[in-house]
Amino acid sequence: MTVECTPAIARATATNLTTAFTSVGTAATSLFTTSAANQTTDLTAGLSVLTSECVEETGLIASILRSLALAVEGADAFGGSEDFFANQADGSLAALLRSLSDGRGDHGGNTAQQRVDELTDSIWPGGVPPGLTDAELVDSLLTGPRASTLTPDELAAVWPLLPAAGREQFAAAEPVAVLNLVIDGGLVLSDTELDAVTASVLADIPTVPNFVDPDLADQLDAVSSAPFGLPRFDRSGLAIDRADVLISAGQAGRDYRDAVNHPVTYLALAVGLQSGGAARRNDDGLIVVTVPADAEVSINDLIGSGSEFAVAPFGRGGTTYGNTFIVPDTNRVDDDLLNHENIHTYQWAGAGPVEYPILYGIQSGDSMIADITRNGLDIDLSLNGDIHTIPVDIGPLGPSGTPSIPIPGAGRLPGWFPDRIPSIPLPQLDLPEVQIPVGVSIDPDVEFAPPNAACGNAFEQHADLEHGNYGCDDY
Amino acid sequence: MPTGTQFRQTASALDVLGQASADARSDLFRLGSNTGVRGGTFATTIDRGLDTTAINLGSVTGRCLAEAAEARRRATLCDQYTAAIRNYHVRLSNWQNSPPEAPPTPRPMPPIRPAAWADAG
Repeated sequence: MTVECTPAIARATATNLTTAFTSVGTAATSLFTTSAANQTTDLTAGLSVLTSECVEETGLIASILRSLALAVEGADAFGGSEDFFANQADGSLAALLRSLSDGRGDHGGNTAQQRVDELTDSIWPGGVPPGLTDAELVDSLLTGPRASTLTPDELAAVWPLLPAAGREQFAAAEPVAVLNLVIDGGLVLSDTELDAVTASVLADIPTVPNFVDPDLADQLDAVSSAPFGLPRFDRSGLAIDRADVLISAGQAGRDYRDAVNHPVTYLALAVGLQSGGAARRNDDGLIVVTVPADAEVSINDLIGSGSEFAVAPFGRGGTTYGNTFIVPDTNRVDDDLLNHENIHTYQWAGAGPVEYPILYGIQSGDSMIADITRNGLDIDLSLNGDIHTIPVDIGPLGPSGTPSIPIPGAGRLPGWFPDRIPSIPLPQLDLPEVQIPVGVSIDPDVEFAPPNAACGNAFEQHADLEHGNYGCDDY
Repeated sequence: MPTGTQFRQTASALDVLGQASADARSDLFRLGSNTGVRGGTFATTIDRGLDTTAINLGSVTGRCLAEAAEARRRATLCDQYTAAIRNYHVRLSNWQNSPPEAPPTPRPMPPIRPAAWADAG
C-alpha cells in the first residue's frame, strides 16, 4: 500500500512529541534517582518499565515521522536520497513493532488473559511445545522470570485462567507460594485447591533456613544466661526477654521471627482458610485471618478423613499462632489489638514453636489459679431452666496472720513455682447455702464460669493487657 | 530503611512524574489523528503506538497518584515510629536513673517497628 506523507505536518508532530516527552523522561529520571537513594524502589518498580516504554516508543514514532518527511523532501531535492531515509523509517518501524509486542509495558493495565499470553510468549516464543502437561505448564508460567515482574494482585488475577488440573498440582507442590498469593494478592482458592494446599502443608510442614544476624545472636545469648553463667530456668521470662531483643533488633529480629514461626504460621493459615476465613498480611507481617464466629474445623475437614470432632480454630476473641492471627468476624480488629497480637508473634519466636504453647498454657493456669484465689469461682446452676450464678469464695492461700515461708531465689525458678510456700494447704471452701424450693428439680448441668486465663498471664501482660481487651483493671 | 523525610521526597518526585505524564497525555490528544502520514503499515503502526502510549501514560498517572499516597502514608507511620522511639529513650533514661528508693517498675519496652520498610529519623 502506498504511504502518503505531508512533511511539514509529520515534522511538526515529531517535534511536539519530542517536547512533550522530554519532561516525562526528566521527571522519570529524577524519580528513579530519588527512590534509589531513599531505598523506596518498591514504590516505583513498575513505573520504570512503563515510562521507559512510553519514552522509547514515542521516540521511535518521532524518528519515523522525521525520516518519512526527509524521504519525501529528499525525493524532490536529490534523486536517490529518499531510499536512504525510507530505509531509516523502515528500521524505526521494525523497532517500534518489536517494542509494541514485547509486553514490557502493561499497555494500560493488561487484562489477565493478555498477561497469561505474555507469560507464555516469554517462555515459548514459538508456541507451547506439544506434550507439556498442565502441571508443567502452570509451574513454568508461575515460576518463570517474567512472573517475578508481576505483582501478587496480577498473579492472583492470572491464576483462574490457568488449567484447573495444573493449578491443583501446583497448589500441592508449592503450598507456601500459593498461600502467599492468598494473603498478598487476594487470591481465592477453590475447595479442591485449598484441600491440596492443606494436605501438602500438613504432610510436609514448611520450614525455611534461619540466617541469624551475628549481633542479634550475641544479644539472644546474653539474655539466655543467669548470673554465674547458669542457664535460666524461668522459661517464660526468658521467652519474653528474647522477644524484647527481637523487637528491638528491627529487620534482623523480624527475619528471625518469620523464619522461626514459618511452620506454625502456614499451618495456622491453612487451618484458618479451611474454616472459611479470609486472610490478609499487614505491614509488619502479621497475617490476619477473619473467620465466621461459629467456625469450626475437624481433622476430617483438613485431610478429608479421620475424626469429625470439630473445634473453633481460635480461643475467646482470637488467637495468634506463629505470625497468623485467627479472629472471629464479630470481633473489632483495631490497630491496638493488632499491635498486641504482633507482640505475641515475637513471643512465639522467642520461645520457639514447641515451647511457647506449653509456657503459655502454664501462664494461663497461673492466671486462673490467681483469679480463683482472688475472686472465687462462679458456678452456674440450672434450676428448672433458670440459670443461677453462685459465687463460691475459696479464700486466700493461707489464713491471714499466719506467715508463709519464702523460698530463697524463687525469682530464678520457673514462673509457675510459687515465691512462698503457703503455711497451710488450702483452699478453704466456703460454700454458700442454696435454698432449693420444694418441688424444684435440679438440672444436672452445672457449669463453672471459666476463671480468667489472661490477666495474670505474663505473656499477655507483656503484650499489654489493655490492648488485649481483657478487662484487667485490677492487675 | 527509609525515614519519613525520604518517603516524602519520593512522594514529591512521584507527583512531578504524575503531572508530567498527565500533561504529555493531554498533548497527545491535542495532536489529533493527523500525524502527516496516511496509509500502509506506517500509519497503522504509528496509530497503534500513539494509542498504546496514551493508555500507558494514563496508567503512569494513576500509579503515581496511588504510590504517592502510599509514600505519604508510610511517611506518617515513620513519623509516629520516630516519636515513639524518642519517647522510649526518655522513659528508658528515667528508668535507668530512677533513685534506689523508688518502687521497682518494669523496664520500658521499645516500640515495635511498624513495618519492615520503616525507619526512625
